[in-house]
Amino acid sequence: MKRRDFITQASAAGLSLGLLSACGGGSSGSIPDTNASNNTSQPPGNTLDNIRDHMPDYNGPTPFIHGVASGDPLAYQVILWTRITAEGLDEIPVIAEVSETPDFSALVYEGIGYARSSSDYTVKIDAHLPRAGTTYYYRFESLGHLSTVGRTRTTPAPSEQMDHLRLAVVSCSNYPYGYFNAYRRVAYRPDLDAVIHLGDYIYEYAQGEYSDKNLTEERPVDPPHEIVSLEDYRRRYACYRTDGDLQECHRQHPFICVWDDHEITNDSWQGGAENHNPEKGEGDYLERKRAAVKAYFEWMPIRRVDPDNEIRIYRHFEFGQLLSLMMLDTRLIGRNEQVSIPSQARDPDRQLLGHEQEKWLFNQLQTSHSRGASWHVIGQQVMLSPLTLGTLPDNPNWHIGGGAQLNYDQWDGYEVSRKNLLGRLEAMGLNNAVVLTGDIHSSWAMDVAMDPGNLLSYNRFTGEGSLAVEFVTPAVTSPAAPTKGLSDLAAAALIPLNRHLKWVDLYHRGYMVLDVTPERCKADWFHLETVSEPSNQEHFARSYLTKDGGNHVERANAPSAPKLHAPALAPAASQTKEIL
Amino acid sequence: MSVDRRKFLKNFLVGAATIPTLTACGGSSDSNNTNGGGNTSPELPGGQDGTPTEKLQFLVVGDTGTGTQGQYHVAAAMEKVAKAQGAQFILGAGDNIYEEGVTSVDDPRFLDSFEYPYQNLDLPFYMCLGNHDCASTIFGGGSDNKRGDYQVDYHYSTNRYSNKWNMPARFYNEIFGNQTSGAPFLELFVVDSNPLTSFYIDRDENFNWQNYGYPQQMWMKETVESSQAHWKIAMSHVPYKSNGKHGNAGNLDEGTRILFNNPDADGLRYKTFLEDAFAHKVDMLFTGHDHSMQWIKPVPEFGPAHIIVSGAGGKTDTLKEPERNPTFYQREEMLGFVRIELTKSTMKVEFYVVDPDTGDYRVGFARETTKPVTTEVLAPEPELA
Repeated sequence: MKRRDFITQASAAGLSLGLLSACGGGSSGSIPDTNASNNTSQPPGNTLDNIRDHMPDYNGPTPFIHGVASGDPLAYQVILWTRITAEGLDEIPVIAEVSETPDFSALVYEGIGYARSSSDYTVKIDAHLPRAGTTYYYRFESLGHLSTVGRTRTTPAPSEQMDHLRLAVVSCSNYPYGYFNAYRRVAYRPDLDAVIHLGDYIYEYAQGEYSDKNLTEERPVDPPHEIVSLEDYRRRYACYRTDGDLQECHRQHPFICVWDDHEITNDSWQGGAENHNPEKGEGDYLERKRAAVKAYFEWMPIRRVDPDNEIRIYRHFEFGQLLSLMMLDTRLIGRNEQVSIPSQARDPDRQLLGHEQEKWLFNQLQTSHSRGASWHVIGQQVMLSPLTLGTLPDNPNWHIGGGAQLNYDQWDGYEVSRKNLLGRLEAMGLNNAVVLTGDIHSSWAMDVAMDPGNLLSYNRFTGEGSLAVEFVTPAVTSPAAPTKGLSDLAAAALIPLNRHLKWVDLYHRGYMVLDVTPERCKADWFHLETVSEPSNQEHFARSYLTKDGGNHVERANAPSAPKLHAPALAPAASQTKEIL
Repeated sequence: MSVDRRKFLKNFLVGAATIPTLTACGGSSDSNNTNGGGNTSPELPGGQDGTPTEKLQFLVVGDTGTGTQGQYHVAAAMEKVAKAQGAQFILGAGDNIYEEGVTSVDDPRFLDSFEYPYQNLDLPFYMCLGNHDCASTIFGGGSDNKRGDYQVDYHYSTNRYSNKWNMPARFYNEIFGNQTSGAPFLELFVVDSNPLTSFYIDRDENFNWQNYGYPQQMWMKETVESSQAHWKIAMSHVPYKSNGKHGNAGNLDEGTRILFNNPDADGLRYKTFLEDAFAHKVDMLFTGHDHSMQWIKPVPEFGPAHIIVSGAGGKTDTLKEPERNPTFYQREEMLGFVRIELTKSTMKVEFYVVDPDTGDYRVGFARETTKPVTTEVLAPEPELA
């Protein structure tokens, strides 16, 4: 049963030609002439020529209206994604081609996938590529049309010594709340190795429920009601993916994504969500969750981690010896319901990650440590460090202290899970752990200390006692403070009360670039002038780094220099010629 | 230090002694420290001649070291049960010497709290360190871990009263018996829980989590993973689950923790330690610390292992919250010990209850069940004609 599921999924996701050649005859490259001449006498098979010759009849416009995307890069593998929009057709063959050059003069990979109604006509191909740490260009062919050219990049081989990596970090992209100017800025940074999306990639709300009222006409969401069913979720993704900026960002960089709550519904956890209301006819939460997860796997360029567990997205990546990236799910797989008072937040039986994931994370940290990676980066959704209105020294043996926490949806509401993680970092003596966070629509730089309110265990001036650092990326569009003035006021109040907090900006939308060398791991925040209209104006906001072995943040004055000789961006759509 | 110990060992290889390379804190003994060849006690069935072990019987007793009448009562009952029902060795689940351990290898408290009470019980004891063994005050705060080293030294002592005391390192493994394949029948993993959970902080940095707790965890995990033994049993002092006043790891000593200064006194990291090293791998976990007897049902995070608290070898206490964890059996305010009988596929657990005043003893509860962990599909044994 499970095996059959797995095969169904594998074939739905598209199989590479390499795998098929064993049972489906030679590839077009090996016996081109015979194939062409004897074509009519041969039964249809999965050779490229056969596929091309047996394309369904189609006379419509380009079927690639949702663009192309790539993701989950490994050293020799990357997920290629597209979707076919062709009225009345199903089981549509899609050919993927990958080349080291944007002109596709020499192909390094050709693969076939099928766009099926069962997967909302999305196609995912896990391309096996010859070289690690290499930029590749890819495109799809189907129904007599070529897609635009996408650009992706494999990760450096795990054993490779690296001296420089650059990763963009984004989160919270709410389509009706503004223009995806951040995505456009990220798209045009040719020197990025990948883009990390920390979730809230879509929002579930009905039209006008959580949006910029001035943009109702320009950026309407589809479907206009709150999304609940599988069909709804699919339509919402499709709506977002018509955005040119988002398409461009996907087209230029491989994404590494995890969901947060809004990919399902607000403040979701394992068994429910704040914004799930069965009394309003929204039905069974588990059914909604399944629908959301299915649509996520269809539309996002993510690799299925565990064939037996469709809800598992926590997984890891290795960028040479320089960096290990652990992506977590703090939402669906293990989270207990949110509570609202500190004593409940300290219930030792409550879990944020769930037992399995926590164990996996600890093992990954140990593995990363043992393999000698310079940096251990944890990409996750909600803020790890406490956010309080007054920190007293905490006494874990005595349930007061730690201050009044403000947001029990973040790790503050799962005190024991946090203590477990920090306790592990401390016990391991692990240096160079870096936590990347989204969810909160604002920019933060923080030390991660076991008890930041305790003068004896943490020194805010030297950072002594800090175990790790946390960098929080702002939203692509979702709002935090309504004005800059309010933001400054709040920041002025929060920083003295939260001794581990070094910087916060609650106003600007934007993104973060993580610039990593063996000597330091640095976050550069770039803020946008506006998301109310299309704009390419951004400014460098701040920069904080943590030095090798330092485990605390220090301010840096300037953004990191871009990489020299960055590979060319994928050519714009107009430059690709329609040859078919 | 370790050189001296080895020298002792060469001359006085005793009982089931192993040949570990000991460091000051016993932490980094290499993982093959049971490969000495002499670690199967001669008196064990199927021991030296290589015939496979069919049955293994042993007693488990904890929190013994009072030197009072109660300990003598339990010792007498153990002696009779061992004789009548059979036992090849004894596990001591910590708090071997009340109230504050020993302060030298020649400390007379070894005699008062161990040698004299058990003088008629001629079986090897495998001992585990408890909080009182590592305490500098009578409150058992556990802030003097270094003191536990004397109990390891006693294992290697040339001047000791008997050769029964086995504690080759602060934490260690030990194998018993063998299977047809030559692999061990039983492997015991002994945890030093005090540095992980003490009430008060030990200022000696050698015993903090970085230098001691985590290396112990990694060692334990690797040792368990590489174990070829059929039965795997863990022993520690501080409970993983208990219905007594100390309670469950992760929330130990709820209510009284206000008096403690060690942030790890809640046992949260200790809980993860135990799950990390043992969950789904060991068949049983024995602990002491709470002075009662409990057989707690398996919990999902820990896998199929049976969790047994046997901490009534010298002191009694009430069960603070009998409903905290579901049990097969629990008994408060009585002394007692546990007898285990293992065959290839079954385990029999007998709880012996000993009256603290009269010394009368009886079976409080007994139950036989199948082996909890069944990882490999066992090839059928060739039938002997």
